[in-house]
Amino acid sequence: MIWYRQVGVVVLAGLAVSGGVVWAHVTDRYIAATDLRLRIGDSIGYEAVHIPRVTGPDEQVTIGVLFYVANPTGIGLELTQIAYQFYMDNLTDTRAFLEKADSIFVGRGGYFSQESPATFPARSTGGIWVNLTIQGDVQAVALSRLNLTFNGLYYPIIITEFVYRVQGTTIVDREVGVVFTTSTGVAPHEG
Amino acid sequence: MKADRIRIGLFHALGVLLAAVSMGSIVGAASLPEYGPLLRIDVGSAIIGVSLLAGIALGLQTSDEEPSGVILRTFLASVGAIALVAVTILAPMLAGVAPTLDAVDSSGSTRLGLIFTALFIVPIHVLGGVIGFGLADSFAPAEYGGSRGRLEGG
Repeated sequence: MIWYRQVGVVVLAGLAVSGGVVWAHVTDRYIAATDLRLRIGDSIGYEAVHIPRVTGPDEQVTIGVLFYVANPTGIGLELTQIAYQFYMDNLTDTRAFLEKADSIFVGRGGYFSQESPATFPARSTGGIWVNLTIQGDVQAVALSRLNLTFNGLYYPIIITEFVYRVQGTTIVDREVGVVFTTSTGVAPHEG
Repeated sequence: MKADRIRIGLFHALGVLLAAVSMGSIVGAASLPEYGPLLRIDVGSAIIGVSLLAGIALGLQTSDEEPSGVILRTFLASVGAIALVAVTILAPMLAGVAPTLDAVDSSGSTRLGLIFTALFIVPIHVLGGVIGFGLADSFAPAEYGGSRGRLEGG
């Protein structure tokens, strides 16, 4: 084969091989990231809600919300922000939530870690606790709203927003309006 | 003779395939910069650079033939590359992961724009093929159908 044809073959083969490797890498990530973003609503939720018993008006109470993350896709997920609003439902107030929200609002909890976000690798599950502390001496109204039980049970309402990054990409997305409610109530957490 | 023609035909087909894969894969990857840190090149540079280079490389493969053969091969390679770019853009749908991409990704007009941008591969790749053909013709000795030595010898 003449030398310039050899040069052409080498250039074409080199471009095709390197391009193929890059293309396979990018396309695989694209498909996996799309899969993750479509299934994120079913992959994030509430595992548990711990509300201690309130024993005094000046008490400091720490509420714990355990979020679960199930990542069934082929690409990792980095949770950079979890922000929730915590309400304690008043079962005697039969108004719609939007009408009574201001009167039952307790406080906001959040997890904000841009530098070291909680990472959930491909095909993994995990959980993350996000706490909310109510200081009774300076947040008397919030504590009184929190200390509302019916038959000894709490009826919290939690609305959460998640911000996540698809691992290894520059894709940042959010999942809003993830709601926790209970019809059976939550027993006070002891300990 | 027939075996020679088949061999040459297969050789040209392989060249078209390699050119299509090289252009389509690199332009497709450049169209999705958010997903791949391996390649940091904008789409325009990928289209111009890779198409021209692959075109010249394909044009250098010419044997003793008319330029129309090179133009046809580069055109076929361009069509293959554009098809590969379209496959890349629509990959989640083709993989069965997403019924539509509107709920997740950029708008349909943006995706269509990326595919139409890839149409610029055609003229640039054909141009590269013509350049490569000219280079091959000037490099090749007369006994291989080239002009080198033929003009000098009179």
